[in-house]
This record gives sequence, structure tokens and C-alpha cells, in this order.
Amino acid sequence: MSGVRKAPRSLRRTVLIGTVTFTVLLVMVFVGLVRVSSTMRADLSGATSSFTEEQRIADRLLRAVTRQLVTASNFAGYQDDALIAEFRSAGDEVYAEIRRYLFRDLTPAQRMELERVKEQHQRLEVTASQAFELFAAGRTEEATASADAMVGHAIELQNAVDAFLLLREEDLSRLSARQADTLEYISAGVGLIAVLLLVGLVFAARFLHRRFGRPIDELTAAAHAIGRGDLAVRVHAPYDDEFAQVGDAFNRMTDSLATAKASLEDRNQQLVDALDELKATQTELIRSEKMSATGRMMAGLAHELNNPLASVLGYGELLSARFDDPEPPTLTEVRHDFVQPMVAEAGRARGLVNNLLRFSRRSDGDVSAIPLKEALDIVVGLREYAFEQAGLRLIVADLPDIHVHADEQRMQQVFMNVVNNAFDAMQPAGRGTLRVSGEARDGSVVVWFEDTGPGLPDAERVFEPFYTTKAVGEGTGLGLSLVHRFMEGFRGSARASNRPDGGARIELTFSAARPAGRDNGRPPTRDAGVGPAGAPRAGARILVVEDEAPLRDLQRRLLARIDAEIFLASASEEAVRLLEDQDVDLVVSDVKMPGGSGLELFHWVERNRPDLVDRFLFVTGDVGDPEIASFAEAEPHRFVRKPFQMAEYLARVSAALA
Amino acid sequence: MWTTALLAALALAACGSEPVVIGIANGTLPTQAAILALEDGRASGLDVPVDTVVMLAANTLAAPAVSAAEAIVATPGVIAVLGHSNSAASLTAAPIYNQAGVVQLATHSTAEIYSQAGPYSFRMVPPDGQQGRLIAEFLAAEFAGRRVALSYINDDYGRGLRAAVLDALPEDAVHIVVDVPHIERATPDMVRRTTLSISDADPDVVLWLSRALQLADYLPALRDRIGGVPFVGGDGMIPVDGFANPDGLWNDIFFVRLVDLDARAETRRFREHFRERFGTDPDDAAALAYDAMTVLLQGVREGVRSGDAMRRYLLSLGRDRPPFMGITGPLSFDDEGDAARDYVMATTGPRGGR
Repeated sequence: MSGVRKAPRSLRRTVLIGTVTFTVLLVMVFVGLVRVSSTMRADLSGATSSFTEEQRIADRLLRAVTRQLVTASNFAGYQDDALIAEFRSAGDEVYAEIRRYLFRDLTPAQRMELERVKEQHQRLEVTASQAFELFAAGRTEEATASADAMVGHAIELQNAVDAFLLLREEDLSRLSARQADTLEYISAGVGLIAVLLLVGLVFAARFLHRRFGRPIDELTAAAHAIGRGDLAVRVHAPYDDEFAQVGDAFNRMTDSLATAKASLEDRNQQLVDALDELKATQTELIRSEKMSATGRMMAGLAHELNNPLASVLGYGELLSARFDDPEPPTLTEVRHDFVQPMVAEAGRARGLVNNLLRFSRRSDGDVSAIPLKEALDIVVGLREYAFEQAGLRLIVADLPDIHVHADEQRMQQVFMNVVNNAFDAMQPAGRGTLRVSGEARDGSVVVWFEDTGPGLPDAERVFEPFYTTKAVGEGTGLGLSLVHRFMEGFRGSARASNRPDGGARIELTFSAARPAGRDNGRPPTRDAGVGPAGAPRAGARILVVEDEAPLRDLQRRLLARIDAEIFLASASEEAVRLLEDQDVDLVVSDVKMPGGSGLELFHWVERNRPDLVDRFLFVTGDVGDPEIASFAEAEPHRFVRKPFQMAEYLARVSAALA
Repeated sequence: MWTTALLAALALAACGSEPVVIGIANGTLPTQAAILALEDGRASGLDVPVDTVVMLAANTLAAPAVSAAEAIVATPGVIAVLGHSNSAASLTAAPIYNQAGVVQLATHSTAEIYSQAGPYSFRMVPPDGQQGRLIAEFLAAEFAGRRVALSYINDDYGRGLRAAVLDALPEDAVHIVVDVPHIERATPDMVRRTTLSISDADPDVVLWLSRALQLADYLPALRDRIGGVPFVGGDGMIPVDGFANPDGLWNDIFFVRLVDLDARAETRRFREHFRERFGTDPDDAAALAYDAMTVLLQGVREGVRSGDAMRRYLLSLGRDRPPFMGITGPLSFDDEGDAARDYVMATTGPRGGR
């Protein structure tokens, strides 16, 4: 409200006062009307009754007068006592009727007229009685004179009666006119009540609209606004106390809601931050668990890796020594006795490193169709040497070649954790076997890990976080709990039990999946994008960007085998300069280099040499980097994984040049 | 003739409050008695202002009675009226007083029908039945088997008293030889014919149920024709003021006294007091008027200020209150507003002398 605001007052009191006032007014008018109506009815009834009664009185009076006159006119019977008695009886009746009239409400004029009737009647009777007596006494002349006088009085009496009745008729006519007036008044009163009711209803409707409808509409609109989240809305305190209280309460509620909302948003943000932090912590924890497992494997892996390296080194030194012999080996001997064993050992090392790299990749959390056996092979490849060194056996048998719903990295970690758990359980004894088997069932695949270790002291709790039976420092206690959690994420399950003949059994159930597209969305494998090696175009101009000199030289030598014109750069900046000066057909670049990375070089090419975008290959040993992994997943044909084999390398180059 | 005159509007010392008004519509003696009562009341310490509106109305005709009644009820503050002077006038005026809610206290209206006049109509005497019985007993005792000429005034009083006497008269106690009415303001022919009717019947006694005023019109002719035949009548035959009987014309007239002024010391003192005040003797009606005014003033003393309150006050006498002790004896009223009173027969002539 604007302007000077009236002091709130009680709506209930206003309604009460209005209702009472209107009701009292209505009742007063109604009572007045009823009273007028009652009076009119009483008047009508009284008038009717009076009229009827007076009619009777008048009839009796006239009849009695007539009787008396008829009797008195019978001169022959003047000596008859019966006639005289009849005359007196009629006279008494006339007298009684006149008396009845006299006790009624009469106007002074009517009363005077009636008195004249009475007087004339008295005189009539006197003269008549005298006539009777004189006739009886034989005074005929006197009797006749009295009779004549009687006739005169009779006429006077008749005139008086007529005059009186005429006055009464006029009075009744006036009464009738008054009744008509009263009827008009009543009609006007009814009309007045109707108008009052109508006006009252109009005012009541207007009042209800102004004093109830508007505040309620405003409150409703405000409630809707709040429902839409607009907590800045406020209602104006209406004029009436009740709605003012409601409005104040509503505004206070809105204030509280706004405060609560701000507090809630603040707390929600805190929770979001805490959740993000928790997720980060959890991710880090998971990563830590993985790194912990990786770290514990690392010594064995290093030892395992040393073996092929030692072979390569040994064969290399032996070959070098043989060239100093008086009889150097022939090329066939070199190839058969030295180069082929070195390539084989290097391939073994390469496989080990590849397994480790694939295991070490970060998970993107996406569940897709993953080849079960391939994931298990990576884990087995990483751990079988450790089992062998510890006097344990790791046997994979009867595993169906099937795809399951899983995240590849997490599935590898599941297998790794289960395998490591069995390894840790059996290692103290220096003997034992972990048997991995599985079978496909209706829509699912079950994989069992059965060891011959001491079994699980409390199989129900092995999946609880931080539950461990290992000594402090030997485990995080998260390994099997992550197994359980990841399996639930795959919509699968993990169960732990002890085998009847000893040892533990971990049962993993996956949902079977139908293999999807070419690479199932997985990061590029060693075969990804490698097509048949076509004949590379002779004289192709190829830029090799590699910070490692041996690898740069190796690639120069490899590319020389396809008669390519080779430009070498040790950094991306140098490559940019070459690209600005030279026209090349293909760029083969390392990813991680001092200074600008291979990806930055690629982005430069996109901007400055878009013609080379489709002829740009990456050679990298690191697909763990998220950016590289994402790029490699999107365009796997651009990547040649280190360490690479000559055929693979040349095939990828030839494909790019084709 | 009817005489309407406003004699006095006697006001007490104005005390700043509206005075109570009591109307007087009566003959001269009752009016004087009422005024005397008012004066006595004031002298005895009446501290309520009381005015009177006086209408002299001594005859039986309707017009003066109606006019007087209309004038009285139109007077502001009127709560009661003392009157009228006879049954006919009282009955004529009664509807006007009842309609106006003004108490009508008739001094000596004895007509039977007055009992039905209305709730505001009271009277100081019983209805005619009582004096009818008294007259009948008197006739039966004094004139048994004698020839009786009956003449009555043909109005409410005469007709009612005739009926009362005939009702009370034992069968064959007397022999009614003529029964003729007469009328007020009778013409000479009418007087002559009535006289002839009575004298032709050769009566031993004349039962004159009328008023002394009318008898005065007939008596000389009747005495000429029937000699000293005694006359018997009701209270209407009480000799009027200034009554004189020098030639014995009015001897042997028997009538009913409403009040025997010689019977009580109070009435005797009243007579002396009245005589001192007005120089003439009061009659029965005057004594009744004195008591009537006194009882009305007593009501005013006790707080009566309206006609309805006065009506209730009068009815309470002898019931919620003790009877009012007037000069004529204890006074109370029955449901019809009639007072109880013992009548006596009196006579003129050698015994009464007036």
C-alpha cells in the first residue's frame, strides 16, 4: 500500500459490526413491516369483524324498529296485551342494539347521531305507550293524536338511524381507504427491504472482494512466486488486522525461507565441495591402491624385465666380441644366433611394459563391452613371473572368450586385487596354486579365483573397507572392498567363501555383453588402426620429430628402407621451422618432448598446415596421459606405440602416405 | 338545558412539575363537594399539584355529555373524571373515557348496564338491582294488593330501574294498572297524555321511576287528577337543591336515599362543612362526590399519575389495600367497578320535610 496507511483493524470485528448493523437494520425494517402488517391485518380483521358486527346490529336494530312500528300501527290491537308486550319486547331489543352501538368506538358525530336515534326511539315509545293507554281508556281522540305523534317520531327515528348508518358507512369507507394506504406502505416496505437487501449484498460482495479476495489473491500470487523460487517477493500488509497478521507472518516466513535457502545453498556448496573433495580423495585412494599394487609388483617386474634386458645385452656384447674373432660369424649366424634371440627378448620386455602401461592407465569410468580374457591376460602377464618366483602356480583354465560389461581398467584392477590377495595368502607357505576358471551362464559370466592358501578367516567381512588380515604396511585394506564396489558398478557381484578342501574362493559375476564397434571405445591397442602395409610412395618427404637421438636415428634408418626423404628435428620448435621452410608429406612426431609437445605441434599444423592434418602420426610410449589417451581413443590410427616393431611402424607410415 | 362551562382550573402552586388533572362533570352540588374535597385535601397537606377541569352537566341528554367528555379527555394530564350526573349521561360518556384510558368515577349512576361500560368505569353506588329490590320490598310491604301506576323515564336509568323493580317485585304483590314511559323535555301534550293515562287507571300509588326534575313537570297535573296518592321512586327522586314544598305538593313521596347524611357523624360534619363553604345543604350525590374526589386524591398522594394506575389503585382497595374510609363509610370496588352501599327508603312531607 502506498500513502498514509490506515491502522489495521480487526476484520472479524468489521464483519461482525457490519453483519450486526445490517441484520439489525433489516430486522428493524422487517419488524416494522411485520408490525405494520400485523396492524393492518388486525385493522382488516377488526374492520371486517366490526363491519360484520355492525351489520348484524344494524339489521337487528332496523328489524326491531320495524317490528315496533308495525306493532304500533295496528290500532285495532291497542287493547291487546300481547301486542303491547310485543311492542315492548321490540322496544327492548331496539334499546339493547342502540346500547351495543354506544359501547363501540364511535366518533363524536356518530355518538351524537346515535344519541339522536336513542332519543327519537324513546319518544316513539313514549308516544306509542300513551296511544296504547289512551286507546284502552277510550280516549280515542287523544290516542289518535299520540299515534300521529308516534308516526312523526317514527319518521324521525328512521331518519336518525339512516343518518347514523350513513356516518358509519363513511367511517368504514375511510377505514377501507386506510387499509389500501397501508397496503401501499407495506408494498413500499417490501420494496425497501428488497432494495436494502440488494444494496447490502452489493456492498457485502464489494467488501468481500476488497477485504478478502484481494489479500487472498495477493497471498496466492506471492505463494506462487515463492514456489517459483522468488524469495524476494513480499506481500503488502492489508488494512485489516487478520490479513495484516497473515501478511506479516508470510513476509517473516519468506525472510526465513530466504535466509534458510541461502544457508542451504551455502551448505549445499560446502557439501558439493566436500563431495568433490571426497571423490578426489576416493579417486586418489583408488589410484593409491592401484599404485600400491603396482609398486609392490614393481620389484618383481624390474627383475623380470632385467632378464630380457640381460639377454639383449649379453647377446649384443657376445656379437660384438664375435666380430673380433678371427672367424667372424656369418650374416646367417648373426641373424640366427644373435639378432633373433635379441629381438625375441626385446619383444618379451616390450610385452611386459605394454601390460604394465595398459594396467597403469587411468579409468574413465565408462562401462562397455570388454573382452574378459584379454583383461585377465594382462594381469596374468604382470603376475605370473612373481607367482613362479614365489614357487606358486597361476593357472588360467576354461575361461570363455566372451565380452562382459565393465570398465577395462577397473576390471583389470579387480583381477589384479583378487590375484594379489591370493598371492599374498599363499606366498608365506612357498607353495600353492591359484586357479582361475569361469563359465558363461544365462546372460552372465562367472569367474572363480580358487587358491590353496589358508582360506578366509571371516569371509563375510573381506569386502569391508580397511578390513585386512595382513600386517601393517602390507596392504591398504581397500583391495577387496574395491573389488566389491567395482563389481557393483559393473552391475555384477563379488562373493567370497572358503573352499571345502581348503583355500579361498572369490566368485565374480559379470553381465555378458555383446561386442560393440571396431575398438569398443577402448584405447588403441597394438593392432588398432594398423591396416595392410601398402607400398609407400618413393621419395616421400617425411619429417621425424624425436628428442631421443637413438630413436630419431632408428626411425631415419627404418624410413630409409622405403626410399623416403627424411627431415629430422629434435624438438617441436625445430620442426615448426622446418615445416615453414620445407614441403613435407608426412610428420611423425614424438608426444613428450622438452619444450613444445607433439600435441602442440599438431595444433600448429592444424592452424598453419591443414593439408598435413591427415598425414600426422604420433609415436609414443605413454598413453596414460589423459589428453593423449583421449586423443588416441578418438583417432587411434594416428598412434604408433613405443616400443614398436619395424613392420608395424612402416605399415602405419605407408597407410598415412597412401 | 345542558350547560357547558369551564368553571375553574384550579391550580396548586406550580412546583415545576406537570399537575395531575381530575375532571368534574356533574351537577352543581356534587361539583361543589368535589372542589371542597380538593380544598380539604390541600389543607390536609396534599403536596401534589392537582388541577381540576369542571364541566357542569346535570341533564341526561347525550350531546352535553359527549362534549364534556371530549373536552375532559383532551385536557393534558387528566387521569380521572368525577361524573356524570346521571346514568344516561355517564353511559353516554363512558366509551369516550374508556377509549382514552381515563378513569370515570360516577357518583350516583345506578343503571345496571353501567357495569359493562368498560374497565375504566367505576361508580360510588351499586347497580339498580339493589335499589330495585329495596323499592319492590317497600311496595310489597306498604302497598300490598294495591293498584300501582307505573311510569318510568324512558332512558337508561328509568328502563333499568323498571326492570329491576319488576324483577324483584313478588308476583301479585301489587296490581300494576298502567305502565307508561315518559321522557325528559316532554311536550305539554305528552305531559297531558301521560297524566291522563295515569289518572284514568285510578291508582292507589304511583311508582315513579324517574327523576324529581321530571316529576316536577307532571306533579301539579297529577295532584289535580289523583289527589294525594303517594309516589314511590328511586334515588332519582331525591329532592333537588332548593327543594321547597310550601303547599304540600311533594308530600308522600317515597324515594331511595343513597346516603343517609344523618346516620354518621362524618356525614353530619360534612353537611355542616359544606353548608359553611357554599351556604347550602349537600345532597346524597354531594356526599358521594366528596368521597369520590377524596379517594382519587388519595390515589394521587400514593403516586398515581395515570389513568391506568388510578384504575389499578381503585381496584386494589379492599384487596391489596384496606378499603378507603370516606365520610359515607368504607369504600372499595368489585370487578365491575361498583361500590357496595346500603340504601334506605326515605320520604318527603311530614317526615322528611323536603
